[in-house]
Formats: sequence, structure tokens, C-alpha cells
Amino acid sequence: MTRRALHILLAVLGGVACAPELEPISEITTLRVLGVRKSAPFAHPGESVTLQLRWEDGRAEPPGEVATFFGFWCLNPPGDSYAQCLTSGQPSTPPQVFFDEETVTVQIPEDALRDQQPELNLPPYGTAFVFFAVCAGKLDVGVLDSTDNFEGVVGQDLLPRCVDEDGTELGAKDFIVGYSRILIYEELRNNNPIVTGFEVEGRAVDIDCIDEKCQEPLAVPELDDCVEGGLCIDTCDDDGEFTCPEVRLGAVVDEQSAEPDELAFRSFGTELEESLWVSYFVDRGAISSPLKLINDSRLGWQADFATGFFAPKDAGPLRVWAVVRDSRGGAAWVRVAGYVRER
Amino acid sequence: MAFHLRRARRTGVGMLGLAPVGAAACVFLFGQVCLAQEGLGEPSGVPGPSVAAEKSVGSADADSNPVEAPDIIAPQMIHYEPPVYPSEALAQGLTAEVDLQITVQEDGSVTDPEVVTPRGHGFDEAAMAAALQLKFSPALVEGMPRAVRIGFRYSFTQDEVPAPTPDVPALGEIGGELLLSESEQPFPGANVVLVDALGNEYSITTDQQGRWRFSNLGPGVYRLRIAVEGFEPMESQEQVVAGEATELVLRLRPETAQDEVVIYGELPPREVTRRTLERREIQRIPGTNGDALRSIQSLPGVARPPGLAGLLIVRGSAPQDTGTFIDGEEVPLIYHFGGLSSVVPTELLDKIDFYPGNFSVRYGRFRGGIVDAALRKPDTDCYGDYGAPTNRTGCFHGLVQADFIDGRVLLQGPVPGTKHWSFALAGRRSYIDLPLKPILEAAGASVTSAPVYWDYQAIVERNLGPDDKLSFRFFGSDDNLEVLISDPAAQDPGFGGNVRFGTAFLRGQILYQKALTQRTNLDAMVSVGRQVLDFELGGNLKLQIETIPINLRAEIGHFIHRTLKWNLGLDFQTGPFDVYVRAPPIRDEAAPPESLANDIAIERATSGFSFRPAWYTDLEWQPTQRLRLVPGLRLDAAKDTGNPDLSPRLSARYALILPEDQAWGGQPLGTTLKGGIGKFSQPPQFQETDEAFGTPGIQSNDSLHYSLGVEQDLTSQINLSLEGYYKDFYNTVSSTPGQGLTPEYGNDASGRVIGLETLLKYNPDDRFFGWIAYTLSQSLARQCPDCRLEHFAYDQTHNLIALGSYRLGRGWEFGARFRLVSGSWQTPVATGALSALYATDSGTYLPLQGRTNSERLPLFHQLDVRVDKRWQFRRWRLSCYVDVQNVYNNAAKEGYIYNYNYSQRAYQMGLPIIPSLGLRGEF
Repeated sequence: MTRRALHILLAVLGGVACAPELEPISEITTLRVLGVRKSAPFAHPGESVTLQLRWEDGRAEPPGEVATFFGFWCLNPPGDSYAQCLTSGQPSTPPQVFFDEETVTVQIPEDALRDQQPELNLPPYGTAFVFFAVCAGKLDVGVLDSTDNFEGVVGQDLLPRCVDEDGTELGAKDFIVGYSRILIYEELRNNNPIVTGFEVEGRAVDIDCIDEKCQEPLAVPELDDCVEGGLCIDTCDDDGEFTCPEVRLGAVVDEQSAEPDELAFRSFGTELEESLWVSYFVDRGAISSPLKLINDSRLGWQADFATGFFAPKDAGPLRVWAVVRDSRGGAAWVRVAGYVRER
Repeated sequence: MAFHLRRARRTGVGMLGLAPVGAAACVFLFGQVCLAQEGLGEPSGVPGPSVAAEKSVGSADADSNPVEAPDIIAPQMIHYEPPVYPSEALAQGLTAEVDLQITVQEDGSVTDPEVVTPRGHGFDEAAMAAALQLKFSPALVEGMPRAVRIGFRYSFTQDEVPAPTPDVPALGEIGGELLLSESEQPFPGANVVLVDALGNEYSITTDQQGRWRFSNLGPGVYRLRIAVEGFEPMESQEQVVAGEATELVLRLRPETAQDEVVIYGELPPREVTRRTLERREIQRIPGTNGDALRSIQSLPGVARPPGLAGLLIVRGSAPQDTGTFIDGEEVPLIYHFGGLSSVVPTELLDKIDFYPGNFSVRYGRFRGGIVDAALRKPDTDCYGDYGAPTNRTGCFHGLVQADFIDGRVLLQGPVPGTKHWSFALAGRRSYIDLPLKPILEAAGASVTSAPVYWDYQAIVERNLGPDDKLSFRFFGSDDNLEVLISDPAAQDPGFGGNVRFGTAFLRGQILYQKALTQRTNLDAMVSVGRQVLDFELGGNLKLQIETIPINLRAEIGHFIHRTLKWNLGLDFQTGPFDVYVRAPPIRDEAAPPESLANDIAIERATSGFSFRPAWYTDLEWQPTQRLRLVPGLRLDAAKDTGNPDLSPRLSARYALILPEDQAWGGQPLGTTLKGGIGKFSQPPQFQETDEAFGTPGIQSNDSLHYSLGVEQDLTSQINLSLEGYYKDFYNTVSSTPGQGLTPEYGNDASGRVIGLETLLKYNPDDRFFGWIAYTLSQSLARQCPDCRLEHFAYDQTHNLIALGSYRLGRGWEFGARFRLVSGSWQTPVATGALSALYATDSGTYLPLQGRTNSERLPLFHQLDVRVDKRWQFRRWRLSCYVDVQNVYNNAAKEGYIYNYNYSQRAYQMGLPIIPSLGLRGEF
């Protein structure tokens, strides 16, 4: 049985048993945050850490200006839980707040390390949470009304809200709140993954940008046909269904990205590598596997972490994103602007 | 009237009593031996001239003429034809006895009648004319029909006969077939007795086709009785109507001692109530694939587990609160993957004790329910043709079965060269790995070991009686899978990478039961085994537990007085263990979930020696015939927690109306009140007391069980059971966020369960079994003293199960089960503008949860049907079943699934219609 036939079989079975249509994670059609890339996923006490927020909007014509917010006030919450940062009342470190910035630098306190319970056998470490909000409207950090069945573990007074020009509250399509965690060790380091390019069917194609060079969101490319060396895919009458020809898309990742998990080795003598995986996004068409494993912590590097792409039926520009993450807070991304042409 | 010649010689031959004016036939085989039997007769009270065929005295003596003959079965009369009394002789008051020689042909017809001594007056002609209308079953020589010549006598008497009247009422007849209940095969050679209103008995033996018939019966009510050794006796009242033939199909059922798997809901005398399911019920409940332990889920008080979860949810308790045992030995799991089948095949089970609550002091360490499955004694009984029972033992039996999921074999019989030892060997392996491997690979997984399970059992047993048993058992189970998931879950990439899951256990077990004196009995079990749990998920989750469990149970029961029995027992669990864990800290239960992918994992390797001893005692006291009280006390200790648990318990039964009271319209129907109260404690789980993951020093989870009920016989076949229960959970372990990485555990949670169980049961008969079970319950929990009382995750308010199975005849059986159950509780995601936070390090959204278990899924309903067909061959049996779950393909809502940022949700649907086909051959 071929892979596609089994895909179809699974789709049919899934349709019978339990697969209603929900908006897939791999299709960017509204405001989305690709990630936050830290200059040092493992920071040292007293170190400055730069965080780059990369948001994108899949709409051809976004509704307007996008407002952003960064806030760092929480260090070493109980249980290392982000939720405790929002419910524990007083900030645990002097607040550092930034509005309308996509790249910010926060200062890690010198006394950020916390002694751990000796029975855990872990070295002293600290946990810092940096919260952010992205709003395709007006951002208002204030009181958030709760709903009847909402029993907040998130404190109401610390959450921002996002409204349009009329003051109407905007939802998930235009408003994202999240956090990024910085782990603080005396000695340990973790580097971000290294993305070097993008391939289609194993062939390198031109990219838009990688990591810090992606300063602005990727607008719809002004293309009316394929360009030499660029991403070029034929349309499919079945409009992104599994029955379309599968085109293999893949980020090019340096194998050096997979670092040993020093914490596991130093603390417990266990030889592991960090896990790496890549998330793929498109603004049109469909992706077969939104996430692919790049490196398994025990089994190591995976030879194939490309995903399948099923083309849309309409010709036009195509945007593709790939975000590579490791299991210790590292991130990297690559963007590709291409074209889907009439078959 | 089939007789084996040798038996007739051994028991002697003679005249048996005649029917009052009945006929008797003396049958001569080749003029050698007379086999005298009760014959067919016209019942008394039939007015008119009496004409009888009477047994004649056989002149031959079997002992004087030893027959080293092959097996011969004499012809048996199927139809008796009375002769016409010659009118002239009748008018003159003449009587006569006419001896005939007749030939019974291979087809049972009569030819060549000859009068031995002519009597004249028309008697000879009348007798010969009637004899030609007689019908016999053919004589069998070495199993082959043969024509034989036999003697036959007609008696013409007028002793009790009033004058003939012209308006002789029409006569009736009754007859039919006798079948073997299980196989629907004809049952030959059974003695069918008919008793009239005056107590006169007539008997006949079924022929090779199981047929029997009494003709020329006066109208009225008769008692029909069949008694065959090894089968349950049958007795019924039948109406004979003038001018009509009453046709009956009767089924003999083997004695239940050999055919019963008993599920004791609550077992007297030491528990509150008792329910019994026969093996046939367990094997034929639709939707279970004939799996005994899955049939428990059709009993009242047992909630429907969600989806494919192989969980036992008893009276609103968490699955881990219910203990599973095999012959008193705790086993880590009772179902293979996803509850597909249980770890012991039904064929090897003797009984299942199921205690939904208020169990006796024999059991502890659990505060929900108890399931204790007992392995059966190997079957060494011998059966005749078509499964007919015999008195012999020492035979071997085998079974081969295959269905869509697994295949199994079983062999049992006597240990060669021994008298009292028997053995059973069984094994089962699934083959779901064959279709699943390509499907998993297509879904992006690299399959190292596709899901597979197997189990095995071996029994060697010495049985010298019910009070003297020594049994050696070896049994085990193994479930394994290992796949590399190269497409991690979008909602948590931590659910990706290499996934390994393996559970295995094996046990060597010795059971010893012995009546030490007339008043004292010993029941002991000792076992040693190995138990492994190996689980790995990506790099952050790995759990390896290996234990060598050593268990000892011993109980001495002593009758202090005939109304008072004292039981004293011990229940020790001990053994070394090795635990390796690599996992993120367990979060506070009330905290929102976080991604597994980026959590800091803790590793912990622990070795030690667990020791959990318990001692118990109880009294079984019956101060009156109606009242039974069982007070008991159990003391549990645990080395790991250091806290002893003392559990006093009491159960009582009071027979408000005994069957012999005949208080219900003169019917022998009983009414029994029952109740119980007791304390039940359950030690904390390993991670809750571990110094790294948990909080050492916390105490056991406690609960109090209360129950009160009534059992009412509605008819001899139908009974009704009502039982209300209340469980008060306190000192329940819960967690709160700690100052460090791990949470703080404490005995701060509580809860309560209240419910009513109703069971209306039609006890199995030849044709039908079934019941309607309805449970109304509410299960609430509170995480901390000041927290809100919330619905427990496994709370199901309504649970209705109606099932039944009907034998259609000729080996066909049809069954159906319908379930109507409240939807399970869900914790919704907060609505509004913000329903999730984006964790950028994992690239996932973390839902902001609403109030715990505050939204209920729609009602669940499902119909399952099952059709069985059996073919009984002379020496073996072939059976086939089709078990179809969810016949009308109801799209059951089993939960919610969300899109990536929790802004959209949809129902997660349950399994569609699933047919399963099974085939079994056994001898």
C-alpha cells in the first residue's frame, strides 16, 4: 500500500470515527506568532538577554497596525509555573515593560539562581518568564472580564486586552498573549538551532530571510509567476486535499544544532541530546505533517524531516515558514516567498 | 426404551408395574431376553372398554445365556395402537390375552404379526390388525439399525370397564423433542415420565432423535418429569387437550457446577449481596467479544469507561481505587491494551468475585471496589456423543479460537499416570500488530515493535474434594509497543520521538485448601513473580519499575458454634523493587497544563524492599434463621508510609420473608434486606510519598462505605435488587504548588458518592437470559477544605443497561445490549477573547481552563448485537459468532478536540460500527 493510499485510508477512517474540521495549526490565515528567539536560551546571572518576537499575518490585507507588549516581572515562581507569575500578586523582580517593540533586551538579576531541593540532584538554577502580547488593534493592559465558567488561574488584573477602533474586544485571530521562559544557570549554555536554508523536493530554493534578518513580517510577495531559483509549485484542482500530488518541503538544519543535554549528564549521568523539531506553515494549500522530528533525544538525528505540501487550486503567491525549536528553549526560523503557478 | 443388554442383565429383569389399565409390551430379542419396561398405556379414567398391551414374562434368563454380544439397543415404541375390542366378545364379557410375535423393521414399522396361541372370538384378528399400526424405533446393533423379531402381548380385559358409551370423548397426546441445551443436539436415552392427576406414572425413553410421545391420553393436567444424571432435573405441568397434540421442545442443561462462572456482586455470607452470572451469560453478552472481565462493565454500579480506555470505574471511584486480583493475588492490570480483552481468558475462569463496595476484611488497600478472578479446576470430565455427560473422568479437552484481535489455545486434562492430578495449559497472542504497523508507518511513525499482547496460564492441580485442594499456577501477561513518532503532536511536541510501552507480569502461585477438622478449614495462597513497567516518551519521560512481588495469604475459619464462624487471616505483600524515573515534576492538579517538551526533567533511581502486611478477623454470626451478621476488623501497615490503618466493617442480611414462608400469594418467594458499613483505606501512590517527587509522611486515603438494599424474588425466574450506597472520601491525597520545583502533597482533599443500583434480572433458563440494570449516582470531589465541591471526572448520573440473549434453536442464539449513559464531564476551556496562552518555547498554546468538570457531554447510547451459531458434531463442537458493536453507528461524543489555539472546538467522536467475527473449535 502506498503512503498516499494509506493517508487517504486514514483520512477516511478518521472521517468516520472522529475527525471534524478544525483550523489546522500549519495554515497561517490570521495574526500568528512564529516564536520568540532569545540570544541566550540558557542565560547566566546578570546577563542581558535579547528577545526577538516574530509575528506574521496570513491575511493579504491585515486590518491595521499591530501593537506589541513585552513584560518581565517574574523570577522563580513556585513550581516553575508561569501561572504562578500571574496569580502570586507582587512581582518577584523589578518589572521591565516594553510597548511596541519586537526586539527587547531584559536584564537577568545577579541573584537569579535558586538553590534546589537537594533530593532533586539539580544544580542551582533560575527561571525567568517574559510575557508578551500582540494585537492587531489597540492594546490595553488592564482588567479582563471573566466569563461564567472561567475560573481564573490567570489573574485578571495582569492581562492585556485587544480592541479595535470601536472599542470592540478582538479575539484569537487578532490577539495573542504568551510567554517565553529563560533558564538561568551558572555555567550551562544552550545555543539556538542553526537553520541554513530551505529545500523543495531535496533541491535548495531561494529564501526570504533567516532568524534576526526577518525584521518585518513577510508581506504577500508581489509575484505573478515563478522566479528562477525560487519556490515554484503547480496548482492542484483538488485544492490542498491529500489527493493532490505531494511536494516535499524541508528546512535545512545544521546537524550541529543537536547539542548534548548537559543538565541530564551532569545531574544524573544520563547521556541524552536535546530534542529538535520543526514546524511548517503556509498561507495557502495544506501541509501533511505540521511538525516533524529532527533529533530524538535518544535515537539521534533523523534523516528526513521534510513535510508534504498539497498545492491550492488557484495560482498566486505563496508564503512558507519553518520554525525549528529545541527542547531547551532555543529557536530559529526561515521564510520563503514563492509562487503557485497554473499547472 | 432403549436398553443396553448388559445393564439389563446386571440390574435384573422383571415385570414393572403396569399402568392401571395400561398396556405393557414385553420385548423379546430373538426370543432370548425379555427386557421388561414400563409401557405405554391408556390413562386411567378413560371410559370405555379397556384394551391393553401387557408385558409378558420373559422366559429367557440373561445369566443362563451370557451374551458376549455387541451393544444392542432394543426397539422402543414410538406409537401405540390400541386394538378394537371385538364387539361380540365385548357383548359376551369375554377377555383374552393375545401373545404375538412381530417383526420390527429397520424403519421401525411392524410386519409379520403371528399369534403364538390363538384365542378366538375375534381377539387374534384385532390384535394382529392393531400390531401392524404400532411404531417402534429400530433396534440398533453396534449402532446400526437392524430388523428384529420380538414378542408382544395385547390384553383384552373388562374388569374396570363400564359399559361402552357411544360418546367416548376424544383423546389427546403429548410429545416432542428433547435436546441438549448447549448444542441443541437430540438427547437419546432419557427417561420421560408423565404423571396424571391420580398420581399414575407413565414413562418412555427418548429415541435416537430425542423424540418422545405419549398417545391416547385423557384430557387434563399432567406433570412431566425428566431426570438424567449430570443434568438439571426438569419438571413442568402440561395440559393435554382432547383431540389435540401438544408439542414440546425440552432442553436438558448440564448441572451448573460444571457450567458456571459466578460473578458475586456481593457474596454472602461475608459481604452484603450477591449476583451470579453463568458462563453462558458472560460469553454471550453482546459487545464484549465473550470476555468475562469485560462483562463486569454491564453490571450496575460500574460506569462506562470513556472510549477505548480499559478502566474499571466502580461506584464513582477513580479507576486506581479498584483492585484487581487473580485468586487473591493483586495483579497490576486486568485488561490488555485499551481494554481490548482481559489478561485471563474466560475459558480458564472459574468465577469472578466482584465487590462494588462494602467488601469484607479479606480485602484492603483499596477504597473503591474489588475484582477477584479465580482460575478454574482443569476439566477432566468425559462426555459422550454430542456432549452428553458421563460418569467417567480422565479425559482431555482442547480449544482453539480466533477472532479479529487475537487467537488462543487451551489444553486440559489429567496428568498422565496420576489419579487426582490434572493440568491446563493456555496461551493467547494478539495480531493487531499486523494491520497496525503499516497504518502507523503511514501516519509518520517508525515502528520498532507494533502493538502486541499475549498471556499464558498453566495449572497443575490435585483435587481430593471440595475441602482438599492443592493447585500450582503459573500465569502471566505481556503488552508491548515501540514506535518512533516522527510527527510530534502539534499541541505538545513532547508527545513525539521514541515511544515505548511495555507492561508485563508473571506469577508462580500455590493455592492450598484443606479441611483441618470438621470445624476448621485452612485457605492459603503463596506466590512469587515479576512485574515490569517500562514506559518512555521522548527524552523527558521515562519510567521503569521492576518488582519481585511476594504475596502470602492465609485464612483459618473455625466454627465455634453451628451459628458462629470465626475467620482469622493475614495478607502480606512484600518484595524488592527497582524504580527509575525521568520525568518533569508532577504539577499541582489544579494548575494549568504546561508543555512536556520543554520541562526540566528530574531523574530518580530507587531500590528498596516494600512490606505491606495486614491482619484481619471477622465473625460470621447467624443468631436466627433470618439474620446474618458479619462484623470484622482489618489492620494494614505499610513500610513506605509508616502509617497503620485500622478498618472496622460490618455487613448484615435479614430475610424479611423466607421462600418457605410462601407469603407472596403462596409462592415461594423471598425478600431480603441487606446493609453494610465500613472503613476502607488506600495507601498513597509511590510518587506521592517519594522524597523527590512527593511528600514523605502523608497518610492513606480513607473512606467510609454505607449501603442498604433489598432483594425481592418476583417469580421463580425473576428477581429485583435495589441497593443504595453512600461513600464518604476523606484524607484524600492532593497537591498544592510547593515553593520548590515539586508540589506539596497533603491529605486535604475529600469527596462523596451517593447512588442507587437497580437490577431486574431474568435468571437464565433454556431459552433466555437478560437483565435491566440502572444506576443513579453522583460523585463529587473537593481538592482542598476551602475549595469548591466539583463533579468527579468519572461521575455518571444515569447508567442504564438492558441486555438479553435468546436461543432460537438449532444452535442459533441472538443477543442484544443497549446502553444509555450520561455523558462524561469535561473541563471547558475559557471562552471569551483569550482562551489560551502561547508558549513560544514549545510553539504550543496552553489552554486557560474553565471550572473543573463543569460541562457534560451529550447522552451516550449504543446498541450491540451478537449472533452465535454452534455445530455439535459427534466428538467436537464448532462455534462461530458475530459481535457487532454500535449497530446503528451512533456518533457518540467522547470528548472535545480543539484547534491549535483553542478558539475552535468540536466533538471527538467515538468508535463507529465495529463487527467482530470469532471462530472456535473445541473437544
